[in-house]
Amino acid sequence: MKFTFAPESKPLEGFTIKRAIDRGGFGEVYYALSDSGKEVALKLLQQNMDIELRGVTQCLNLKHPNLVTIFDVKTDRDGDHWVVMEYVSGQGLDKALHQCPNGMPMEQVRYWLSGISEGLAYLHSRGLVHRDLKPSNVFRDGDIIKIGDVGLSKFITHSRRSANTQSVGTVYYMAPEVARGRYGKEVDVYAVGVMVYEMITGVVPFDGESTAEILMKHLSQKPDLNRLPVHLRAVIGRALEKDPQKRIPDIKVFKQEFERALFQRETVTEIPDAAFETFAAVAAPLPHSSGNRQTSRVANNQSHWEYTTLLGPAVILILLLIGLLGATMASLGAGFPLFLALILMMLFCGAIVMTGAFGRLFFTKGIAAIVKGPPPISDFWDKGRETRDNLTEKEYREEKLEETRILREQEQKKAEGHRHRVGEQHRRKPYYQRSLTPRTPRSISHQSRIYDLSVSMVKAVICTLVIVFGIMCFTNGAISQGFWSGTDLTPAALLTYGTLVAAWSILLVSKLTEGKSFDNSTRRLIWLATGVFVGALIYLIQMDVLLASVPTSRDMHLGLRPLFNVIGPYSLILGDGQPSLIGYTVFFGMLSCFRRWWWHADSFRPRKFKVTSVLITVFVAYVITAVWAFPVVAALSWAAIISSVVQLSASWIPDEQRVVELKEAR
Amino acid sequence: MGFFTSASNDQRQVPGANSVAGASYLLWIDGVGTYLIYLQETLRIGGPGEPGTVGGLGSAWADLSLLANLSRHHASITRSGESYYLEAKAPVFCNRRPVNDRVLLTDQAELKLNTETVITFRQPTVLSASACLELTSFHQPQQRLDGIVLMADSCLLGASGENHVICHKWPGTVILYRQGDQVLCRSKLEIFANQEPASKGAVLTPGSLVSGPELRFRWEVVS
Repeated sequence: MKFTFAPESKPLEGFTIKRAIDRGGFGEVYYALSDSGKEVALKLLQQNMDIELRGVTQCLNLKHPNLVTIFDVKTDRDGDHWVVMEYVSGQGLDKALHQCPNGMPMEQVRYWLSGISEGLAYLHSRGLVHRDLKPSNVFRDGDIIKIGDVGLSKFITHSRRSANTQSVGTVYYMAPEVARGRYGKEVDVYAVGVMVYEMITGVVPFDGESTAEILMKHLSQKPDLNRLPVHLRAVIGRALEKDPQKRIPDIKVFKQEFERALFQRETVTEIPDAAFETFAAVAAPLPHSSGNRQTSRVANNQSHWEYTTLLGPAVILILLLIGLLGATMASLGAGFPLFLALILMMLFCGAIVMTGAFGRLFFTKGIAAIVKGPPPISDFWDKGRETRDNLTEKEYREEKLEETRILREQEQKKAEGHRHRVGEQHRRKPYYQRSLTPRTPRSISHQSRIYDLSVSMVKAVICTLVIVFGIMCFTNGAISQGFWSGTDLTPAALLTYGTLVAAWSILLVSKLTEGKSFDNSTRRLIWLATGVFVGALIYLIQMDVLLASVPTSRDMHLGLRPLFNVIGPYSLILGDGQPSLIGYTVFFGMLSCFRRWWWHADSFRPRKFKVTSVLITVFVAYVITAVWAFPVVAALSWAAIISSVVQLSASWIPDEQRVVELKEAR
Repeated sequence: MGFFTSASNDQRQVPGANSVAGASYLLWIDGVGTYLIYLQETLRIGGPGEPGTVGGLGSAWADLSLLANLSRHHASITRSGESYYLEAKAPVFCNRRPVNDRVLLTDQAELKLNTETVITFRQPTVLSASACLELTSFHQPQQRLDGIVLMADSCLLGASGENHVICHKWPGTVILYRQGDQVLCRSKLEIFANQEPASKGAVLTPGSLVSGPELRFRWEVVS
């Protein structure tokens, strides 16, 4: 690119040209320094000089951070006119668009639009229209967006992002009414609409081989809004209206509506995926409701939903606890201190259950409810009332709805087509859930199952021995007194073997069923059978192998009187307090059935070891012994140790490796 | 240091003057920008210098004096063979990790001086040990720069991303290289230095104007 003036030229007194910047439609632009070191841009007017001069002189005294400041207009010794302007060093929007051929991130779009709208609003408030807005006239200087080239001609040319402006609005960004010679500030709104369209999609709405073709499209063709996100179509569609009367009249209004459309969309989609299924019925778009309505419905109903959802399980849990408490008290005939202690223990266990079931929701929303108080009663009947503001808003939204309904229908058809395509793709291509849990169906090779099982079983032996040894060495309380005593270690051996049998059985069954889909009842039946088998095996070990008896068995019941001592004609407890075969099978069957052991041992469980799982298992064991007779100390010990051993020994894959494992398995 | 004022017409900038290599030069490239070509092994970076001592780019304490909230000598970048090390004299972060003493710089390393000033280190090509600094956070010296080249043996100017100075519209590459105390330029394009053919190599003297098809730049000594 050849320029007229070389570096170090001084065509204009007081300024030294250091280098050329670019060549525009009106002439060359140079970077120059004043004698005192002030950097400026010098624009040499070579073409359409009168028109440019007229525009520039109008804008000489405008001051706004989003407009490129014009310092002066000077004439050199040869009679050439120079515009002395603020030098803007940053990247132009044209280059930014060039870097994002498929459209910019929405944050960037908002950033550019914000600066452009501020600068334009200032111009419009001074009664001026830019008329030549295009990407090459918008710059980013540091953090500030600046609009340049305020001042224009009347010729139309085929130039897009190049700086060649000889027209009232470069043809790609030119409003249709400019061709008819009548225009106001709406032409700038139109140009901004085109630029925003281009920023989002990477292409201009009207393109063609020639200037005439593009002009014709501006005049007659509707812009293809399908390229835009659904929630932005209405607002950009209105900015690109052919009729300036129907077009958004003001740049600030355009920016506000753009932001509102964006905000509404973000509000709706920001609902977490997990919650979305639950909210689906509420948040699903009604056929004749607006996006605004959807958003507010979700927002209003959310807290109500949380309270009501929490209420049911909480009431059931409280009733269950009261029932258990009553049964226990009735069986014991206990005094007030024990009664209080039991209440506290049950509250504690209840809290654990609630935490497990509702987790963060329970604590965040539950505590928020306590702090803020319940939702106002008026919420329950005020939903239908509508204030005058609401009515206005409703009318407004209805109006917008009319404009966007056709687009919505088209979008629905398109979405259906897309869903169909995605479905097809999913059938052909493996799909991985964002969160992989034990419920995730997956194929695991037999070799892998056998290897994992072998490793887990070895680990189970080590863990069991360590735990039992730890209990023997470091406890001197109720457990040691109840389960074994003195130098007779046979009961301890029973505890060890029993734990091993149970842990191995659990590991075996869970490894065999891992990754397979079962309905809940089938799964529970499998586990019930496993528990019965484990109970019978432990009984056999106790009676036929170890020839042991649980010492001082009556103490191990802690004086509790369970609801059932017999099942039909069969007693759960033998004469000396020893659990019978039926007692063992019932206890282990129930423990196995009521706990999710497959979740304990699955390699996709959320965490390798959870103390809450152990505590819940202990609680379940306690409840079982309160209903069906079984030595409490033994029951609780076994429950805690088996739960710990299973979790510690079962294989576990961290979250980030699960997808890799799945892919490898495929 | 009068490269940004009319003093740039002083004796040092006259084409044909002594071509002894200075510490740094400015490249004024038409349609591209202004680049500092730094030849020394160590570049000291700091905040604004004492008024009146030195102007433009440097100060009495730093070779690159940024208009930013920095110490007078905040950090140094030192070339050692083909590697560059960042040495911290005040709070400096390299790729968001604090630098206690010295750290090896890698391509695209983000250097954060104090809390706001961000400079990106780039080594665009393995063919040259030279590196570039981009003033990412828009903190500039008194004289605005579009980039800094820490020139080891050569500096490439051209359209592709593997050049130290990217000149999008240029039809080819121009190579600046050191030979003894001199800096020369050559290119496969037909270029001229002070209207003398320079395609096969020509010494760049302060104030040299290099021109060719669709390209033109001026070489000015800073110090």
